[in-house]
Amino acid sequence: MIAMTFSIYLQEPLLATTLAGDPNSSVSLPFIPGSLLRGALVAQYLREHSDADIAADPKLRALFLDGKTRYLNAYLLDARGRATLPTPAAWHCNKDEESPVYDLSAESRDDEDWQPQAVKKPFCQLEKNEATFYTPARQMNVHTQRDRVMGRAIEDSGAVFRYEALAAGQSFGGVVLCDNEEAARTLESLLEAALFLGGSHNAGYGRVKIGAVKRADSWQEVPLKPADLPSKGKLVITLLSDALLRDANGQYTPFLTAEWLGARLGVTLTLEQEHTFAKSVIRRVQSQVGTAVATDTGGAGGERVHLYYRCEYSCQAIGRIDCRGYWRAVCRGLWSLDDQLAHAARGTYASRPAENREGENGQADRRE
Amino acid sequence: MATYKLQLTLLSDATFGRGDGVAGLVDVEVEHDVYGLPYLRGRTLKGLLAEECANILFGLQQAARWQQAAQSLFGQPGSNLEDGAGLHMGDAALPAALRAAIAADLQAGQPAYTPNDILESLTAIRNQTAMDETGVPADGSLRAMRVILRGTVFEADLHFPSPPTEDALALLAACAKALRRVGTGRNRGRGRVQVTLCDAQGQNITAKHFDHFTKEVSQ
Repeated sequence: MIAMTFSIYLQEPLLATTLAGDPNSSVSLPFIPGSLLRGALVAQYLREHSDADIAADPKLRALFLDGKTRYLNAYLLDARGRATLPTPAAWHCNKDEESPVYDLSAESRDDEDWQPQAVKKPFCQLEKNEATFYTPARQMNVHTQRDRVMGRAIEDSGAVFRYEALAAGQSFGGVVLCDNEEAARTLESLLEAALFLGGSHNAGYGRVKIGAVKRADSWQEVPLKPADLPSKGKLVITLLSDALLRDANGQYTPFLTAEWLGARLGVTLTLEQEHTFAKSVIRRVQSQVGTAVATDTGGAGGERVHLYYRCEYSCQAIGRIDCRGYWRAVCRGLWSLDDQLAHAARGTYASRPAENREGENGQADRRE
Repeated sequence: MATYKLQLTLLSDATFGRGDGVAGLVDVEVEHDVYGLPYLRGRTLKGLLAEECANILFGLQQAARWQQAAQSLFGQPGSNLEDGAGLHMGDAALPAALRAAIAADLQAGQPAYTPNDILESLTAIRNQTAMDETGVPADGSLRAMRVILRGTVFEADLHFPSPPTEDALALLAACAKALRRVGTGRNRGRGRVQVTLCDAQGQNITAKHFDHFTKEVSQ
């Protein structure tokens, strides 16, 4: 696996809209979705290769369509250029206090004066036992639609609408995971082009500058060494991005069940409800490739799940989560986190029992 | 990618409305950034130029050819990758060097001025009221509007992911020359502008491309 990391500097406000606000508003997500970046790179590729047929060419399908190349969400970079991560849903503080923050997936609190309040800031940077929280800056603009003939808004042609965009001047950290050298080279050349992301990108929004493009053969979301899990213990799963999950019937579901996860890990898991923090939202997912526009509402409208599981499991052999088969659900959001945040991998589970060792790129190397 | 600029020079005071006011001060505030520098939104500028383009095409009899050039510049609602707009229009702001210098000053330890000082140095507040039939000010009609002072020069970046055709540049030059009034109150004396098309180095290329336009439409 080759990881391309880069920064996305907003030269203009960026609209990565989601379903929010009133019908006359567009509100941006607090991050840059990987799908937005993928669409922009597809458009740039088609601009450079006007006769390309992405759907027919196997290499281009692998690069853009079938999930072998994974475009991860770009989250805010802090002032030092370090990537932040979504604040775990299990982190709570006492009401009207900002510190200390408690990880309720690791402990329960039942003090008399304990009034838990989720940490509201969407992104965090964790260093040892200190967390710094971040909120992307936003810019609100009011626009009016005018009738072209009358030169002003009229009854049938006119509206006041608001755009709440990510403010210009911020940087976000992007990551693309690909399989081979050729794909990496293609991506590198596409990332050199001037890109325009998001809505209203023809006028006043969306101009970005890609910088600090780096390539790595091994990459981890959280820079901690994976360690071996004991044969019995707790497993905490945190999703680092929205996850679209399907149940056994192929229907979208907001529930990451212990059975589903255990089947993929090859272990038996038991869910601890009291230490589980899950939330879901409806988000419309729209994909546009080439001239086709398809709207994937994800069954119930697309769902986002942040989950903390604390599971008891008995370990025989923890297999690698094959993110290729479940790229939508797994590689966009699934990582493993134990008590000490010692295990983390986006897309590839990076921890093994003592008898199994893992290579640099996450390939399991089972020893008899 | 090809880059051009549009330069807007205010020939009269103008109000690029923000959509709201400041309670107790002005009813219509101008659009300005965090440093107090006024600007005209790219969406607004694009809409104004697209309107002028529509007026020009209405008057031309060679509509098909110039319709294609207009499509390449401004696109149309519901367009896709093949027939979308080929022009990205940035906000029309004060010159980049000036903005950078002011931003650096304001981000420094103890700046000598505030963003509000900047805004007030470039603008003024005009009051107006409606008169009834007897010539007496009508009740409740007093309004205060902030205006950007005449003589202020704005620049908007134009980015073409693919190099524009000669027809597209010619039509753009024609639209630039046709755009005369911008902003609130433009039919009442405000917002007179002179718009010029410049290359990436800031050289005025309006005449060169407009000459091509006049030659082609005269045939």
